[in-house]
Amino acid sequence: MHQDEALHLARWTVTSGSNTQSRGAVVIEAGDHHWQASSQGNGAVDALFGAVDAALAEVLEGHPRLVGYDVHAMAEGPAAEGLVSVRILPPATAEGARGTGEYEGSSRSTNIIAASIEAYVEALNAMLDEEHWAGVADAAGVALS
Amino acid sequence: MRRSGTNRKSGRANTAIRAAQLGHGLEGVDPRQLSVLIKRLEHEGLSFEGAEASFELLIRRQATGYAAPFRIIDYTCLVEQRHGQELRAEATVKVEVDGETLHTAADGNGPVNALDAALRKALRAFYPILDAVHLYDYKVRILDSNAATGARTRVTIESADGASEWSTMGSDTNIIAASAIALADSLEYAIWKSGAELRRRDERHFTTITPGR
Repeated sequence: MHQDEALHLARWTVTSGSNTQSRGAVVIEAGDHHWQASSQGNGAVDALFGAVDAALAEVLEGHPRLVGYDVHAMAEGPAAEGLVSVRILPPATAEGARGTGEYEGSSRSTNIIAASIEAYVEALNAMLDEEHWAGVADAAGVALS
Repeated sequence: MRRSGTNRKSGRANTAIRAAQLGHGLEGVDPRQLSVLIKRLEHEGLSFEGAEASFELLIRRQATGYAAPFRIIDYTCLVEQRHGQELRAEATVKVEVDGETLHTAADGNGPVNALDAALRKALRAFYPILDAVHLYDYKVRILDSNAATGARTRVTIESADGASEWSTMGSDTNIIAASAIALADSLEYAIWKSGAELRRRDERHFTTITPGR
C-alpha cells in the first residue's frame, strides 16, 4: 500500500460526560476517497472506535475485532505521554486469507483519546497493507469532492 | 515530604486492620457495613491497593456526620482534531458547593487535564487550600485488555501539596469517567485533611445560586 493510500484521520470529535452516553464522529481519508460516520459507546474510546468501524464497514465488509487495548505511561507526570497499543483481528465475516492474521497499532500522546484512535487506525492500516486486502479502499471509496 | 500511609496488603484483609495500617481507626463507622461495602467493591474488580486516600475517603464517607465538601452534578469532555489544526480538549463541570452551583470550563492537553482544570477552577473559589495541590502522576491500567474497549479501566492519580503526597483511584469502563472519580477523590481528600475550611473568594463570578436554596 502506498503512503497516500493508507487510511488517515482527516478529523474526529468525541464527547463524553457523566450524564450522557459517549458519542464519536470521524472522517477518514485514503487517497482520493473518504468515509465518515458517527457512533455511541460505553466510553470515549469505544465511541470513536465504533465510528471508525461504521465508516469503514463497506471497505472491510464487516467490523474488525478488537482483541487487545493497553495504555502505558511513558514517564511520570500529568504532561507525560501515554503509549496506547491495540490489537485487532479481521472481521469475522472476512473470507479466505482476509480472515487470517492479527494486527497491531500503537501511538503515543499526552492526549490518551488521540493516541487511542491513532493506534486503532495504524492497526487497520497494518491489516490493509496485506496483499490480500489490496484495492479494497478504492473499491468501496467515496470520492473526495 | 510525608507520605500518607501505604497499603500493600491484600484486598481481602480485614477492614479494621487495613484501616489501622493507614493510621486511623473506624470511629463512627460500622465495621460490618464497611466490610460488606469493600467486599462488594472488590467483587466488582476494584482494588484500593496503592490508592490509600481513596480508601480513607471510603471509610470517612461511612462515618456519621461526614459531609462531602462538594458534589459533582455533571461534567462533559470534548476532544477533537479538526482538519489541519491542533488537538483540542475541553471540559465543562457543574459542581455544587455549600448550596451553590458553579459551572466552569477549561482547556487542557488532554481530557483529564481539562477536567482537572475545570474542576479546580470551581473549587478554588471556595477552598484556597487547593492552590497548593497539584497532580504529579497519572497512571492507567486496563484490568482486562482482552475485553478491549469494554474493559474496566483503573486510573491512579498521585497528588501533592508540598507537605504530603497521596494516591487516589477511579475505575470504570470509560477512561474519562474513571479519571473523573480519581480526580474528585484527590481534591476531596485534600480538602478533608486540611479541615475542610470553606473561604469564599471574589473569583466566584462564575457561580449561580442553586434554585430552592
